[in-house]
Amino acid sequence: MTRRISAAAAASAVAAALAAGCLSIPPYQPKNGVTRSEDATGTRVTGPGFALHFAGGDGFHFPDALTIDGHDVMGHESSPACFGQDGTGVLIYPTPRISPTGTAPAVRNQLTAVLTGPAVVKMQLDWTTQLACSRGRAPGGTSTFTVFPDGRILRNETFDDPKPDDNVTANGCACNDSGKNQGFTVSSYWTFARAAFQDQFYYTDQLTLPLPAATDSDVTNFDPVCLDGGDYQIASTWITGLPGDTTAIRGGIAVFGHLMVKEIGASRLDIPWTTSSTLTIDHDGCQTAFRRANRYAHPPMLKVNGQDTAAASRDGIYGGDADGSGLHGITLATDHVELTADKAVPTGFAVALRFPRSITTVRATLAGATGEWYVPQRVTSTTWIVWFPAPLEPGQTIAIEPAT
Amino acid sequence: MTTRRVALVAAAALAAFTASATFGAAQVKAQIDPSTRTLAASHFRQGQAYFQHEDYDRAIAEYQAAFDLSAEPSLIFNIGLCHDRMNRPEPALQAFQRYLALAPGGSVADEARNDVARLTPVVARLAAERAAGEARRREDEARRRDAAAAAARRQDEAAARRVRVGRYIAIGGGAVAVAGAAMHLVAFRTRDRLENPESYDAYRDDKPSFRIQRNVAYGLYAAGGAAIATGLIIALTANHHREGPQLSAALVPGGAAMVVEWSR
Repeated sequence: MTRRISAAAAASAVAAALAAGCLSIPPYQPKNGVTRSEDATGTRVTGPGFALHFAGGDGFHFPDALTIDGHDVMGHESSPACFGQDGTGVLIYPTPRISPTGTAPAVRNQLTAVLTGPAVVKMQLDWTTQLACSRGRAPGGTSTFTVFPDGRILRNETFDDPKPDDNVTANGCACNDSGKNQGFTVSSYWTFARAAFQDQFYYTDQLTLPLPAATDSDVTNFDPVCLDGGDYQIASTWITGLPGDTTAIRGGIAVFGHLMVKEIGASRLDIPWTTSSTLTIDHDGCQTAFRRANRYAHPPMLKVNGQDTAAASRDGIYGGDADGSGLHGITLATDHVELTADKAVPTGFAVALRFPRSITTVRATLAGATGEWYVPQRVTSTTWIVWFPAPLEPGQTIAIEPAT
Repeated sequence: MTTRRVALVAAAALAAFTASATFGAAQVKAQIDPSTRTLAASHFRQGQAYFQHEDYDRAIAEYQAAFDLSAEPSLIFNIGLCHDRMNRPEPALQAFQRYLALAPGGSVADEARNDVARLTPVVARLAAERAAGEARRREDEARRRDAAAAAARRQDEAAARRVRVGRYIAIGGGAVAVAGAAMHLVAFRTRDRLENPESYDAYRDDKPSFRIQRNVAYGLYAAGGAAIATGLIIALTANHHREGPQLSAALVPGGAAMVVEWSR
């Protein structure tokens, strides 16, 4: 009997120890949030009904798959030219493509999760390559992809070159003879799989055009486009273009590209450059997608304790990263914050707040709002991001304060 | 009187060793050869000497040796006399009775009868006293046995009581641990809600509840486990004089140590 009791006691102790391991506090993970996970092939950012996958391996860690309702809609050519578009990446034409499948050498290729959800996931890729025509030239840049739970992906690119005065020629740098005699251009691009969408695209919310032929040549001035896959739609908008920058579409064999292009010239490679784009994923047709894309392209001011606050161009977050120095949050003098708007703030917006003291959790209140109407995310003990899936209409007031 | 009696017996014995007198045992004496008679006389005289020096045990031995050679009954009387002098009434009585059986009309038969009459009640009293002593010893032995049995019974009852108490404590600890498991289940359900929250407000409100439930579950587990361990120790040490492990605990530098020893 004694042995039985001893065995039972030992079993109880083991069970208690096992049970103790199962009783950790799970992190807050809302149904309509975004998450980041690592796997053998790279990093996946997952939101409700979609996932953006960043390539691992030796290639540049740009996104190599965009899955909507289980369909990968990102474009991939079976044998793209060395400077041809494929997947997602950047081009310093006519040098090799800088993308997961490109042949440009990766001097630096660092993918970092700056924000990890559940309100916002922000992935930052710091990359540097080396020109084969001039080993001293090592252009690089930073690409950020800010993913929101409502299927909005805000992309920001900055390009730079530490030695812009070391002259090179486009012909000397061309990785393919077909790229000669056309000068340097720099572009940031998305490609989408033709097979995943209809044969036409929306130029406005009413006008449709056939997808361009597979000429691999740019057709310029298409700021927003929308592709309709039937059950899902993607609207792509290039938001900020400096003078001389041009948006374009480009038809490939299997892909449809939407890109922002900066033409530089034949003998100079002067590439300090910044551009941004937004993808919005929808399921209610391209009209809705266009409306959302336009709202995000020109977001209205948000009043934070009565002060107008703009959405940061680099990540689309109110109080976010406006100049590349990082997310600081809107500095608050008191714990209590009120959000109001003179014009409706679009469906799905995030605000970053920096409280005057460390807090453990926040509480938001809005008259009549129930359920999962806001999603907070701790960045630091004082800085929090709060995501609101619904728009903020004029006359409404959202109050945010630390919760006890 | 003693001197007289010994002298009388000595005279009879000497007569037996030196002449073919007509004692009751004349037929026996007639068969004794002279050398044996001489040796018997020697033992007799030696016995007499010892007797006179009050060395009665040696005297008895010499008288017995002389009797074995001569079969002279008066020697048995002398042996009885020696025992009597040494306050050994029972062998003395036996010797006198044997003398009377051998020589009912012997020279000291009357004296032997007197001694038998005197010693018989004494021996009877001694036998009675011995029997009483034996009875008392047996009673004492029985009492000691009963006391030992009672002590063992009390010890068994105390051990059984401790085992019972230990078992109750262990069962109580088990009940507390079960309560901990129940609270654990409640905490699990709360945790399910935390994993699939309806809203952040619900998550935030459930979080402290979960912490409390989890900590209560841990506390109940700890209390239950301690009670089970305590009950086990009490139950196991209750029978340590018979079987099972002996547990002992002691504080040592930097903590505590528990020792388990098996007694069999």
